[in-house]
Amino acid sequence: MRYFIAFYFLFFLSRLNAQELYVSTEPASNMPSKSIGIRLNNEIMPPYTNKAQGVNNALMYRINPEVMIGISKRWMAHINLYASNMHQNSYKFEGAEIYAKFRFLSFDQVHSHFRVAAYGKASLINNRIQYNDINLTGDNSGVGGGIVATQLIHKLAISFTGGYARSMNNTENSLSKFQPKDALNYSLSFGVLTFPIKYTGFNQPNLNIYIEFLGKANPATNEQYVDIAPAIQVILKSRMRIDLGYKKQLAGNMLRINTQEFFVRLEYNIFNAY
Amino acid sequence: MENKVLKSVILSLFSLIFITDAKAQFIKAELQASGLTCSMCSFATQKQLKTLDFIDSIGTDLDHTTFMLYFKKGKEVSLDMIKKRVEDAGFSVASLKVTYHFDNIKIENNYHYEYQKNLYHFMDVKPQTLNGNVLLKLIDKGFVTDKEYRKFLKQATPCYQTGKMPDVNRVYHVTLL
Repeated sequence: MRYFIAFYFLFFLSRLNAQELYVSTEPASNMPSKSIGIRLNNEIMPPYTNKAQGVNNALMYRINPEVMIGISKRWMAHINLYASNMHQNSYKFEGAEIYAKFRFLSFDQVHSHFRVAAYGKASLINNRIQYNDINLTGDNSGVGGGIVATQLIHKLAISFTGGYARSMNNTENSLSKFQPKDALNYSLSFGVLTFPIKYTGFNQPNLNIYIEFLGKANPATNEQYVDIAPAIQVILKSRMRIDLGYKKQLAGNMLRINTQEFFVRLEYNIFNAY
Repeated sequence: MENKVLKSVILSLFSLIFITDAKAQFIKAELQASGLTCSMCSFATQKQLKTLDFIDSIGTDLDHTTFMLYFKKGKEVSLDMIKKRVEDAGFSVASLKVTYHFDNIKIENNYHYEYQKNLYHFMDVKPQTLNGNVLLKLIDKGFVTDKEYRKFLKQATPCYQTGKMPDVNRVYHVTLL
């Protein structure tokens, strides 16, 4: 019976195409040169209480408009703006982040590739610094960088990210001496295309399923966590993307804003935009 | 009187050139892209290819990430630009098979055929006469897989590595299918 299940699983995988348009991370591949992507990202955190850490948060929401630019076949950049009620009761504009990625290795074959890219990011945020989870996408000012490696094979796309982030004083609030300044982040992501089984046209909707493991560690305070982040994705007319994701902590001891999150992204791509 | 003769000779020569030129031309190309599976990726590649002014229309086989490129009559076709556009989309050329209309051309190994200021160097072929629509496969670096490139490199002349020769824009290397 066990062999039968394993065999069935392999058979199932062999009928699928891989996808690397990850929801929680970026792949090593870039967007096409001269294309522009517009995203509206929405983070929703349900009420969360952790008595031991003194955390008692109500429902929280962050809106994050994002513009992505394919500069050349090797370079791309993102610009993000953030607004939320995550650090106070009312909604306010929090700041901005820029992200750039350089693809420096690419081995392409029909229906497969292996790519490696380096990324760097910098953010300016005005929030209060209340948690030890250094998050340059909305909570902390700082700089970060790392490496992404993605292997796409016909059946499965696997991606690994390893990075470092340095937290700095937020524009209106400073780090206390007890708060960590350095974080290591890593992730392992898997993606498959479940529909269509056979591509016949650009207007066919695509349905992709992802599962990602996202980890972070603060060496100075010896805090860490690992999240599991499943997501589904619909691609319409080969240019529109809808991502629905959920993230939950599998294990961890870090003082963080929440241990779970719902995520909704709307994306529209314009090819040959300029 | 002499002038008239000269004129008619020149004119007939011109028309001869014109006739050969009109007959000998690229018709279409079958391009297989590599490094991609998703329809968004294919769509981006197709959009990039559409910016080339010598392409009339594009047919797609998404399941095999293959594009059929139909060329405009009389326009200069740049095979390097096709490769560049695929790379701009973020992918690579796995194979490019071009249909070319020949008019009784005798070829053999290392025969150089000139068209639109470019040379087409035949490799790995038997001596024969090409007439009508013939399918050529580009074997230069970036138009084939690295494995295929290395295979041809063993039997190649120096221009296979450089793609250059004196007084020509480009030397493309082709074989017959």
